[in-house]
Order: sequence, then C-alpha cells, then structure tokens
Amino acid sequence: MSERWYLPFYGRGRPIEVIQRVTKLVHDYDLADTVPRMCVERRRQTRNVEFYFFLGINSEAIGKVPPGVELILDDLARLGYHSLANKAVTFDQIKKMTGGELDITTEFTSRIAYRPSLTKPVEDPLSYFTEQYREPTASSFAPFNHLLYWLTATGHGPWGTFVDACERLLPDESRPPRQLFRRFRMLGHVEYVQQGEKWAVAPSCLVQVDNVPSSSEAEYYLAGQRNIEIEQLVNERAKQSMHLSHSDPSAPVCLRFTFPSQERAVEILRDLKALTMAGNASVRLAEALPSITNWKHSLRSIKKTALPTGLYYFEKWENDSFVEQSFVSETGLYHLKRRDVSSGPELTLFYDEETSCWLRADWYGLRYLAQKYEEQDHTVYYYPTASMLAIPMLSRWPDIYERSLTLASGLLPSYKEGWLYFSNVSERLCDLLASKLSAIIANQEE
Amino acid sequence: MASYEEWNRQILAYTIGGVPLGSSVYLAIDDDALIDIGSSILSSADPLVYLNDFRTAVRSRCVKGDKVRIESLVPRQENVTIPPYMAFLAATVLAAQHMSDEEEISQADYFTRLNEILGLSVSGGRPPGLSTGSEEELWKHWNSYLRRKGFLPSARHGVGPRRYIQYPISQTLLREADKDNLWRLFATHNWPNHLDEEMIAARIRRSATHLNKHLQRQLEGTDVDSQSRYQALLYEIYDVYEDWQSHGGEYRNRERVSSRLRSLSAGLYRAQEPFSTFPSYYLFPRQARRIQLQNGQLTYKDQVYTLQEERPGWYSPLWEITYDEISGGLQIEVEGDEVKTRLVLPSRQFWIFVSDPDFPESGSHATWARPSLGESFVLLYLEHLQKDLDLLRDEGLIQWQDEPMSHPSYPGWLELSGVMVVSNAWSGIHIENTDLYESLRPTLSISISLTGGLRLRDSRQWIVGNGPSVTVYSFHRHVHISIRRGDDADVEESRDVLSGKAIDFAWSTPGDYQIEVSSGDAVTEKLVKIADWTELPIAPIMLEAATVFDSVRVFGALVSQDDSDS
Repeated sequence: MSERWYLPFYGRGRPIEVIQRVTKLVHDYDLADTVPRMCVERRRQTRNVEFYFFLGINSEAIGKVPPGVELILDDLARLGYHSLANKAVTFDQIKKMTGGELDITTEFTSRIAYRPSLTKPVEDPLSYFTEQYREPTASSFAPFNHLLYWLTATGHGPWGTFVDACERLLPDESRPPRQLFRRFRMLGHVEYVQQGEKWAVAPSCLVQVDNVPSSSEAEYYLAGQRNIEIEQLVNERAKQSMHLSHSDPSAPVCLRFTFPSQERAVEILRDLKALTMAGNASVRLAEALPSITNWKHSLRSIKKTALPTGLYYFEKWENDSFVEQSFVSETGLYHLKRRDVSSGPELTLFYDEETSCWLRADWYGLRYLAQKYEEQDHTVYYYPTASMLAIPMLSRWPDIYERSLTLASGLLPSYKEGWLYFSNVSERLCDLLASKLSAIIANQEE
Repeated sequence: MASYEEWNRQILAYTIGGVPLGSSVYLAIDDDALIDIGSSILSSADPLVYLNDFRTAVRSRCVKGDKVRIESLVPRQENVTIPPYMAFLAATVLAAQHMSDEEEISQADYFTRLNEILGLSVSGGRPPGLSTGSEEELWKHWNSYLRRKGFLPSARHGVGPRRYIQYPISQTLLREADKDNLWRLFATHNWPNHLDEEMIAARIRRSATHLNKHLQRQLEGTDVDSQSRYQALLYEIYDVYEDWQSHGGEYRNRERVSSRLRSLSAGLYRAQEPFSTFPSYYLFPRQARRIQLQNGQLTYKDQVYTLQEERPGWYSPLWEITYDEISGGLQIEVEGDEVKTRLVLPSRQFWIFVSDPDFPESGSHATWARPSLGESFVLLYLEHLQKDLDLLRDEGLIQWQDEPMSHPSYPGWLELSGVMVVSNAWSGIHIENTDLYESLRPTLSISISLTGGLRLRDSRQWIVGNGPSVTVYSFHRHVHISIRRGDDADVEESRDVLSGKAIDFAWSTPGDYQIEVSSGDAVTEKLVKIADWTELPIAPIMLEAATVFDSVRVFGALVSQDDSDS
C-alpha cells in the first residue's frame, strides 16, 4: 500500500520554468506513477522570485524516497533547486500556501498553440463594385438553388455567413457574394438588415407575372423562401410548371406555374399556410415607392462628424470613375478608405452638403443620386410590343426600383452592349417608375 | 387537481425551456422542482399540495389496480412533440433523489421509494407490472428526443444489477445535503446579491474546499459524465443561490413555503459597425430556465421593450448600455403573461465575450458562454485588472495579440481581443481578482471545436456533405476521437489524432452524430446533426428586415400595409 507525501524544495527563478522542467524529468525517467503530482507556492510575482515547490511522491512510507526518484533530485540540485530532505509533508499541511495539486502525469504535458484571431477583411456589402457581363453559358442552377434552400432554412445571419456559404456551395467562377446577393434581392428572395451587416431571407410568396399576353390563365412564380417541399407542393397544384433560366446564371432557377385563373390559383393554394399570394408585386411595389427625392430623404444618414476626415482617404465620383481628391464637403458620391486599413472596410457614401450628412444606400442608388445631382440625362427605352424596358448599365436605377422591374417577370435582366433588358414590363409599370425617378422614356419599335 | 398530461407537459417545459442548444439536459426532478412546476399549474400556500398532486397524477395514469402499466407511455412513433412519459420518468428520478442523501444507493431501497411514490404497498423489489428493463425503452426514446432537438442526452444505463436503476440515478444532481451545504456557504461567506451564473461558477470553484465531498467530486470529475454534469450542476447551484437570495438565512428551510423569486440575468452583446472605430455593447437578456415568460415586456426610460427570443437561451439584444449601467449594474421589472420578474445586469469588473456558438465565423461576440479550450475571446475589464492579466501572461497561462484599447464612452474600461488560455498550470498563481482567475482558469482539459461547413442557425445542424471540420484542443498531444451515428450505433470513425489539428469527416449520411474525444482521464462529447437537402426547414422570418415607405411595408416581393403600431 502506498502513501502520497510531498518533498519540499526551494529555489529562485521562474516557477513556470520549474514546472516545465520537473514535468519533463518525470516523463524522461518514466516516473509518472511514482511522482504524479507537484504543488507550487502561491505567488504574485513571476520572475526571479524565491519560492517553495513540492514534489508529490507515492511510496511505501511517508518520507521514503523510492528508487529512481533520486535521479530527479540530482538533476534538480544541479539546476539549483534543493530539497529539504528531512521535511516530508502531506498535502493538507501545504494546501493553504499552494494553489492545489498539479497533475503532472496528464496535465501540463503541452501547451495549446496560440492562434491569433484571424479577422477576415471586412467587406462592406453596399460598397462600390464593378460588374462584368458576359454572354450566357450553359450553367447549372443547382448550386444557386441550394444556396436559396440554405438561406430559407437559416433565416438570417451576419453578412460573413452568406459569404462563407457562397464559397462553400458555388463554383469558383461565380460572381462575388455581393453581386450574387444583389441578384437574390432583385428577385425578392432576401433583404439586407442593419445596412448590410446582416442578411435576412424574405417570406415565401407566389408573385403574379405582369403583362401576360391576354389569356384567362394566370402565371405565377415563387419568390422568397423556398425549399424542395414548397416547390413540390405548388407543382402538384399547378396546371403547368416551367423552370426558366436567367440569362445571367447567378441565381436560383425561376419556377413559373400556370393556373386556370387568378381566382383558381388563390383557391388552390389557400391551404398552403407557408405561402402568401403577393399579387402583381411589381406594380404594387412601384406604386408604393417614393419619388427619388423622398427616397433620398429616407436613407440612413450619418453625421459628418462621425467620420473624421483625418482617418480616411477620399475618392470622388467624376466622369464614371472614382478620382482621388481631398474632401471639401461638396455634395457628391465618395469612396472612403481608412488610412489604417485594418480598422474597417472601404465605404461608398453620398455626401449631402445641405444636411451635412453622409447617406448610405446601395451602390447603384447612390450613383443615381450623384448623376441626378449632376443633372445627367436618364433616358430609358421601352419596347411596347415586347413589353421590354432597356436601361443603360451606366445609370442603373436604385436597387429597390430595379427590383420592381425584375419582379414583373421573376427573371434577371438580359444584357446586351451596355444595356439591360427587363421583360414583362407593362407600360403602366414603366410610367410609374420613370416618373418617380425623373427618367425619360423613349418608346421604341422593335 | 392537475392531470397527468398537464404535469407531463410542464415537466418537459421545465427541463428544456431556455436551455441553449448543444447543452446536456438532465431530468433533475426533486421536491423543489415539483414545487416550482406545481406552482405554475395550481395555486396553493402549502407546497405539499403540489407534491401530492404530482403523485396522484402519475398514479392515475401509470397504476391500474395494484400494478404499474406503462405501455401507453411508449410513443407510437419516433417523432413526438411532447413525450408522454415525462411525468413517469420524473417519478423514477424522484425516487432516486430521495435516496441520494445516502452514499450508496441499493436497488432494494430504490424500489421501495419508487413503490411509495406510485402508491404501491410493496416493500422491496420492482413495482408489480414494471417488468425488468421495461422502462429502458422510455429512456432511450427520451435520449433520441433530446438529440433530435439539438441537446446532448445524459441518461445512461449502469452495469449488472444496476443497469436500469442507473438511468434515474444518472439524472440526480444536487442532494438535499448539497443544497444545505451551499446555503450555508452563501450565508456564512456573505455572498453578494445579484451574482450571475458566471460569477457563481467562479466563486464555487474558489470555494471548493468548503464544499462537501460529494459536490467536490462532481465538480472536479474529468470523465464525460462529469463534464456534461458540470454545467448542469452549476445551473442547479445557481438555482439554490436564487432561492437563498429570496429567503435568506443561514439554514435552508426544507419545508419551503413559497416559490423563489427568479430573475432574468443579462449579459452583453458586442457589435461593431463597419465605419465605427469602437464597438458598442448592448444589454443582452438571458432566458431564465424554468420561468415560462410569455410576451415579456419591460419599460426603461419611457420606452417599452418586448423580449423576443434571439435563440434558445437568449433574447434579442436591447439597448446600448451606458457607462453608468455597465459600472453600476441595472435592475428592471419585467412583466409577462401571468408572470412578473426582473431583469438584472450585474455590476461586474470584467466581461468575457466569445464568438457566436451557432455561427463562429460571423464575427459576432457576446457573453454566451465560457470560452472553450482553444477558443480566443474578447475581454472587457476595468483597467486596474491589467496587472493581474499581465501576471497571467508572464506566467504563460494566457496570451493576447493587440494592445488593450480604451473606449471613450466607457472611461476606465479596457478591451483586449484575441485572448486565449494556453496552459493548464494555474496552480500556485495568485492574482488580486479571484473572480477573474476562476473565470479564466480552464475547467476542462479537452474540448471539441466545430468550424466551417454549411451550418443552419439555432439547431447545431449542418447540411449533408457540408459538415464541420472537427478540431480537438487538449493539453495532451495525442487524443482519441470516435464518431457514432444514431443511438448506440456502430462507430463510424475511431482513431488517434493530434490535438489542434483539424479533421475532415465526410458527413455523407444524414443523421445525429455523437463525437466523443478522450485523452488520459479527460473525456468530452458533442452532438452534430446532419440534415439532407430534402429535410431543410423553413426558418422564421426576421420581421425587422422589411423596409417601410410611409405606411407600406416591403419585404422581398411582398408589399403590404404596415400595421406594426397596432
């Protein structure tokens, strides 16, 4: 039967180093069963201090040093740590002066490698970006469908989680997350929260396609939350269903359904509690939207003093690009970069000298404001026969207004030679939006 | 009199209500718990009424004549909303609880107690009708139910003759003698009021030598049962503390006549806007377990706030706190449907912020939990604690990266980011602030970190083929990992790995996986749920994401009248 007792030592130096040395010696000599514990005197200083420490020894009797342990004692003596050989003590006698027993057989055999917290570069989702459009290629929509399913199941989250999900699910050649999110937003699937710090998925709804050629049948598409179950439930109840590809393969496939009539659609889908009938969302949104002036007044404003100019480099939007310039409190569109780059993302903001405030909104919206301030022409072309509206890429509308156009068809606009073409746009929708944005409509024949 | 179904439902709510996902759940039912539950169902000045009503309810459902009949408690399907056996299993735990003041529980004595609860006049031996092992099906179903809900089950069978009685025994946490011991500790050591769970945990660790042997063993154990019990025990200890706060005195009155006054404690939520140099701290209320607070509201500075669940265990952050509030604490009355309580932000000298446990990659930090081993955290503290932190760093116990940052809105407070505990050799180090010491000193020597993959929020669930990387952090170089899918299923993976190195696992089959890691005596476990694409749910909508123009609300493609003021 063995007894546990403690052999006192004293020494000078760094207690932490003593612990490391003793642990190593115990394991080098394979004496962990014989010397399983140690205690160190409580202390407030850490360097070059005199202190006591105690080796916990298992042996037949208290005070009897087992074979092999003298090797440790010799090594410690060489290091300047001397035992009080005639002073065998028990733990109860020393527990008040020490902090407790260190189990050196299993504890403190190694330290955990310190990992500094890696702060990912913070990207402002509302900041300026350039978009490249290319000819549509045959691509799979499956990854984007899966992304929407994940958004549906998750509900909302910090912006970084959307970025991570894109990296995880989408092909490497996919657009950057900000551009993808914008497309999902145009299609009514998601919204920004707290100025882009978070994202949230929109409620699941069936949207009526605008300007369908005269027919008693009604066409709808799914927007907002969507999963396999919802798709199947609507599909089972529809007369016909179609999977429509976007010309820009950067969004979930558009699921369109045909019902005998609007009334029948409402009746058939009444029992699907997870789904809301959104009606002609494009026109309803267009009617609800304010004028561009009132939209500007509704934007999040940041007092000029909240962004001390000394902390940033400034670039001002001029002639369709950002030019480095000192900030002199003139109205305009600016790009701000922190002088200390580790302290925050780059920001794109509109400065309004009338109110001495910065305005925050989507990039295209702020650019539109800047162009309006510069009194640039905003002409768009409407093709009545095709029910199509063309908008120049270089003066795209603010996101919420462009969303109204996209919701007319449930499809992203197609692109050709610097123009974006929105389909299923009725004349009424076109007039509504153009008047609010002070845009000029030029009717075109095909 | 309340029905069996009412007791059943309330026991379930009491057991898992407000429990953060991923936590171990214990069906820790004793007389105090039954009095708490009973007071929410019935109304009486005599707590014995609740205890008797519970027994009557269980007998009415589970005893026919002089035999126990539990066939009707076996769920017909795997997926049930409210397991029908909760009250019966609670009765079995109660029997174990009544035994547990003794050091050793004998099978005969256990069954004597159980028979007494069930009203059967049988001395010793199983209750008639309860065939050997028949209750195991209920325990297994309960464990599955917890896994499906995202919790870790804790009920385990024993070996040999104690195989089946070990299930209820494994659920007992604090004995009556333990509660008496704690009560005396709080009283004789003048514990201050309004300590939150973290401070209680720190002080209990410091007071270990004043605890009885039973409590000490439970708090210091290293096996997986002990580690999962640790957090549950701390909550039970917090419950006793609240009880002591409500009633005071040096000696606990076991014949308690009134319910304890429970309060909601608040932590802090740290947020930083993209263009802001300094973070902001928001009041972050914690859901109290065992208070069923519906439609909780509070009024502060003439503004009404509604408590909305942000995730199980927490409400959404409220307002940005002021210097006075963070320094002096806060207490505000809260009213819900038929419940009145208070929200307490304790006055503390430091706060520890960890990454969002549901979305560690998000960059959000709050006082969700203690940092896990290998996890870096943010520390907000009064500047006089700097020398204590410097000492700990000099001793090689913690490390951080950047210099402390002062905050203009909170003079006297500093913030340190990227702090991490790197050593387990804390014995012998003495710093001034013992709460800080105990809050930072690791309680576990091994932990599991799950990162990456495609995670669903609030469910500790990932999508098939997109599961997490698993990293084991330990003070041992080599650790053993085993991964099991489903209940008592074969092990899918079992090998030795290096600690600190990420392990990729295929996660190619949907299901509930239990990861267990061990090194030496230290063991811990975690649950991973893998869902198929076809099983993905529809998450609740975040209403505040809508934009309002005049009186019109726009949310995705939905355009509707805004009636948020009604």
